[in-house]
Amino acid sequence: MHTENIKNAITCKNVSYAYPDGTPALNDINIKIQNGEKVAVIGPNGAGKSTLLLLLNGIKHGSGTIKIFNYNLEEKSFRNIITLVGLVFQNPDDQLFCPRIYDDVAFGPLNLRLPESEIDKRVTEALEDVGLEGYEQRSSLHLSYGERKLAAIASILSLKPQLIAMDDPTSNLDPLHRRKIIRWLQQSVLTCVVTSHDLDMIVETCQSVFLLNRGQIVAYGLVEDVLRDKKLLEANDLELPLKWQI
Amino acid sequence: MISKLKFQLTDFIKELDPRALLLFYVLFIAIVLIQNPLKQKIIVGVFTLIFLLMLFSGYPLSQYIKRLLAIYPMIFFVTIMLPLTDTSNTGEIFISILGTKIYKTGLDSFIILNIKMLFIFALSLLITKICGTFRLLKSLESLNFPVWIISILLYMRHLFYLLSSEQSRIQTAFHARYRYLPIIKRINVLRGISIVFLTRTIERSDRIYTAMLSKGFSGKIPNTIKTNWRISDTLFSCGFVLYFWVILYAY
Repeated sequence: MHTENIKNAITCKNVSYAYPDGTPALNDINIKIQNGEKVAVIGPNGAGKSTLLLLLNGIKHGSGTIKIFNYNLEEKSFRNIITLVGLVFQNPDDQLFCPRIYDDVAFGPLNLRLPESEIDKRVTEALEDVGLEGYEQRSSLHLSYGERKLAAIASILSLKPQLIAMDDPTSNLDPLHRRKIIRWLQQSVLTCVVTSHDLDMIVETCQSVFLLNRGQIVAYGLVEDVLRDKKLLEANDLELPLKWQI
Repeated sequence: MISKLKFQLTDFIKELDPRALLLFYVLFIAIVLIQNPLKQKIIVGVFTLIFLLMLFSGYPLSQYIKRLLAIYPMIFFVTIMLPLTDTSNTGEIFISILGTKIYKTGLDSFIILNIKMLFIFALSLLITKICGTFRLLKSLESLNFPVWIISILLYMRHLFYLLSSEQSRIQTAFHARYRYLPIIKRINVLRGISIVFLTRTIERSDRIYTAMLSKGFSGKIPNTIKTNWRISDTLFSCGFVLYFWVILYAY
């Protein structure tokens, strides 16, 4: 799927979503994210950040239109959506459920019914990309939390998505693995949408940021502008990144 | 030399094809369940077989014993009413305690059923230890078991693993905070915790399913483990058939 010449990676128009019990989660979201851009979605707990990611991946469906690289999400089959958008969950244990790391990373390509040689190649590349070469035969149960997070990312990279959405990728990580994920985000050429409370990580990796609160977009702009606005952040139960507090 | 032999036997057992072990398991259950009454020679023969397999499985015996001791209370409580029933209507009473009659036939049934279930659990434990859940499920796949059943079993295995970590965390928190409360209050707290645990189970299972969908799950959890039937598997299969024949009919 060639997306290099497409300007907008994500276009959301009037997107709303309510939980089955009627609780509104997102209200009239309008977003445009450019191809190759790295965007952060920040906000207090319960703002709707994770729900937005689930809508982008096609797992949940709300009202409004979501286009991923000019493809209308509703019109695409689920199989095609996963090759467009890869979603990395906050808890890697939810996403690693096979006997070995090789199986978890090969899970996506196997479900796409790719030839064995292609699957092997994708697994090797994905693990190299996250720095887990040689981990193929290991069980995810025997890895540290940080390594499991990297393995979860690899399991999505093997699908070769055009866009990767990550839900709080640096939460509960030690400094070493946090740094590895930051480095990966900095070096990646994919369009990335990252939700996080780690504002320092966002400063290092993302170009622009959406501030979400109570299901609505409160602010949007460059990282430098939004994350230096102390009043705006405090009004939305956030605070300045640590590096800018001093 | 004995250590070398032990290592060789351990390697032999660990490298067995899961299908050979499944075949052994099915035959074993058939023999143990069908036999009524359970003759002494069969009990000794089966016990010896399980003991030897456990000894050469590469895992400490103490691990098996601990797991069996953990499972046994469940077996006991499931069969506890049997001694109070006269299963063959002979009316023969073994003992009467405070007016409660314990029948001989009921007691015999209780003992035999406990032994059978212990054997079956011991072998189940042994087989999952030797070849692992995933290789076993892979062998079911090669035996043309419905794919959806295998996917559900794999999913349940992962869910069970996550929930047992969750349960041990809840248990630790419970002990830290509520250990010194009176028993009635502890039961009340446990009731609340059970409801929370049930809710988390549902949420967790939904999240795992959502994660599977996000990776392109299409109804089958692909398993890349390769199984290979070799001469050693044929030898093992013939060996256990011969062994069972000996303990059933030879003397």
